[in-house]
Amino acid sequence: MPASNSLMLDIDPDVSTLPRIVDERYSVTDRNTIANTTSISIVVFSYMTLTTAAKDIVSKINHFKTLKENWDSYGALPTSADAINEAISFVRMADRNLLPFYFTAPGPNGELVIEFRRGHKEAAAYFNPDNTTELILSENNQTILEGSVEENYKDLLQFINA
Amino acid sequence: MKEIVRDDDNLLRRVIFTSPNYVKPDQSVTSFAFQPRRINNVPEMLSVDIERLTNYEASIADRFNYRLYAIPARTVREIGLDCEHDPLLENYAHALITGEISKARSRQLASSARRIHYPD
Repeated sequence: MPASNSLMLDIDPDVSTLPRIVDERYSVTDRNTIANTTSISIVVFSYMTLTTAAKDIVSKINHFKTLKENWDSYGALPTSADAINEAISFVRMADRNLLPFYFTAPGPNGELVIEFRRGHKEAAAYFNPDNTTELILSENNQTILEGSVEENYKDLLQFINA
Repeated sequence: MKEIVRDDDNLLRRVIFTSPNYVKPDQSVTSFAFQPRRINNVPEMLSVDIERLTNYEASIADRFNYRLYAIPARTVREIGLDCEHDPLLENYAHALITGEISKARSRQLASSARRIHYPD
């Protein structure tokens, strides 16, 4: 029996302030499931309960908003607001898919990276100021795959969570 | 006068480790530590110091906010990049890592870098 909204949520979230609940670029879920109201409620519940690791990553990413030009003394640019927003949406999606967050850092050109690690497998998802993304999967320091996050999200899940 | 960068030379790169922090929990560094700025979409070259021409105190410059990581010149060349001495008035040891430093190559440089235990 499907759970009702009232059973799943003990508070009534302000949906207008939530990010896109289902980001089609990264989604690997069947659309029929997404269309089901009950399933969407579960997603909302998932958003409300980010894991500690995901919360920590989001907190660090939000801190990047405070960086001024030349924050690294090599002339680095402040982190792009677009890159930050995209990355935070991605963290929510990745957390739902149980990806093991390891590290995040701002780059010298306004981009940022979110890294995952499981054993000798590593993945780095880059969010660029021009709204492009890059994904690098590597194992034992050998690059396995290079591409965009959007086009290779399923590969990321299979690689890290396998 | 420019010197030849030998394969057995170590190249020192300053890495920020306060806020934000480029040093990961396992003491390795993120690839951003070896990613140059892009000016008008053209990447700059990567500044390093040749270890044998300097000392750690001079190279780190700000020991409160930075740590030093060393990478052998041989490794730089093995991944398709090069390095050349680029002495500055204020820093004779200064050198540049040249070539197309993609994100994948930045990751290779970062994974090959070893921490210099100075000042701790």
